[in-house]
Amino acid sequence: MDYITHLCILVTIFATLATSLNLVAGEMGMLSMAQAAFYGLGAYTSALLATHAGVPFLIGTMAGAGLALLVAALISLPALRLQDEFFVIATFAFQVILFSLFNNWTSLTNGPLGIPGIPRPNILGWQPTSPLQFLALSALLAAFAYLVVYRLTSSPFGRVLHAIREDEAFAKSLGKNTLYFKVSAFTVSAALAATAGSLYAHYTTFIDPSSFSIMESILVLSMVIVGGAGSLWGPLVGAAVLIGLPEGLRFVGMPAAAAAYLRQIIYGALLVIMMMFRPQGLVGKYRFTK
Amino acid sequence: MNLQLLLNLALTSAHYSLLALGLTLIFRTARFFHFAHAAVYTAGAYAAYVCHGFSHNLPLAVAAGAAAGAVLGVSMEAAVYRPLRSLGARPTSMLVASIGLLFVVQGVVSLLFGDETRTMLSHSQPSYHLNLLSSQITTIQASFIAVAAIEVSLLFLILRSTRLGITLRAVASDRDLAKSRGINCDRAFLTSFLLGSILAATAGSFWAYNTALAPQMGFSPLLMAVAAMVVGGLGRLRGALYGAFLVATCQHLASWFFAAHWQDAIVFCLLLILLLFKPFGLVGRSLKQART
Repeated sequence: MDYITHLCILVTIFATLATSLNLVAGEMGMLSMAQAAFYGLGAYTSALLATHAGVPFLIGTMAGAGLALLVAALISLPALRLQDEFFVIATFAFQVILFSLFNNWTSLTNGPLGIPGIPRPNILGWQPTSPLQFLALSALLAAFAYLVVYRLTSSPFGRVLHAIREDEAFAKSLGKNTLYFKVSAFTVSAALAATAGSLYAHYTTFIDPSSFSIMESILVLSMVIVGGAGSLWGPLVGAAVLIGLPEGLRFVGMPAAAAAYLRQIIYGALLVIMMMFRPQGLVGKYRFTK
Repeated sequence: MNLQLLLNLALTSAHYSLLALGLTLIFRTARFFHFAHAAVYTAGAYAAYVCHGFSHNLPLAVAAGAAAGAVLGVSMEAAVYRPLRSLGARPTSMLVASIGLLFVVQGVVSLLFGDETRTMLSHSQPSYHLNLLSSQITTIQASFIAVAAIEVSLLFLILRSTRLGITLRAVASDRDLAKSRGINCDRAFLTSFLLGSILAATAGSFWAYNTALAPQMGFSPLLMAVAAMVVGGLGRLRGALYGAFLVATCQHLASWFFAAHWQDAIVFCLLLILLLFKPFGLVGRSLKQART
């Protein structure tokens, strides 16, 4: 039972991540490969503050989100001027750089050995101890991310994002400062990802760089695409499917090592199949085609 | 600056330029980032490994690796990219599909050979060194540099002066116009995948001999090849060559002045800065030319 709850917590954390990425990749049509970098930024900031300075969970989370916001703003000013594949490459480069920092700045992040002993969250006196309580907390965060993206996309702000996705030159010709909209969406998305990272760090109580690699970024991107980019439910469905499906392999008696490889094959094959047969994702509407 | 450093630099440049050239060749004809190029590299390396197990013959193993890589690259184009293209997929969705292919091939390789790092040459075997003015280079490294040089010159020769090369260049510069002149674009795409994959798989096979094999071995060279490609101006073959050299230099300087593990971060920091100021590369075209 605890195992199922653990899976559900993972699904909600990844649903938060995928929802935040959807704001950029789905609603705005810019594929970012750096979501795991912001996720890691949140996780490391909060974990380091908690283990070294005893900073409480909420403040650590806010610090992580704030730092991600700042870094995202800094990186987005150059990156978001670039189009399509150039943007992908720029975010890709950023992801590689941040991973390298997590992995190699040993004096701060303890390198590949990771940070153990991160305290469980304590929110104004309430301390989730059982997995179920934790699930409630992570579900709350996922709901919050959903709400933020819902509010943003159903507002005039969201309509500009959609306009950028469909035809940026046209949006510009209507006098919209598209860079402003892109930077805002990108920073909000980064802050949400960082919040998810902080929650993850305090849930597992141990983090190491492998959770924040380019592979994780691609996994989150796959969730958005498989579920349905540009739809609010899509990322949630994608997170549930991509976490749930490989776990199912364990139950049919697959040895653990083979299951890990098969999981990779399934992720890859799903990406290819979705692009060929259902580019709008399982529940989405927006197709990555012209 | 001693000779050893120069030799190492030549080796790394050869490694990256083979990958970057293939990637660029595919990018300029098919117009998308073929991430699964790393999978072709890895597949070539493992094919060479299997062949080496039977024959213990380096030229034969490398040829087998190149052939396997070529088959894989061409079948990716025929089975996935061509149908996608006919569906009117954007470059971004082709890119997503190519990431998927990379995952699939990596997973299959792990499933077949396991995740552990393997080496081709056992430590008991003597490794042959050539001594050049007090610096050392193994015969494998020397032959890799030679083969890379031959392949690169052949590629440029084909592109410059054969009918095939002219076709490829025509499709690269204007696909619709080429089509209207009766050029078979699908065949041009296939050819570019064939040539590019041979280059990548050769690099993979030699690198497996030079260092070791692992299912994820293709990823890090691919990163550097992408950097080289962007530095050289996207879609410019000669630029990719310069880019590979620059990236290799950067890497060696980074490990000379800092530590080897900061290589990736430094190369990609420079890439980000370059993207900011000159997104079309150091020797690239102006923005206006690139848009057309």
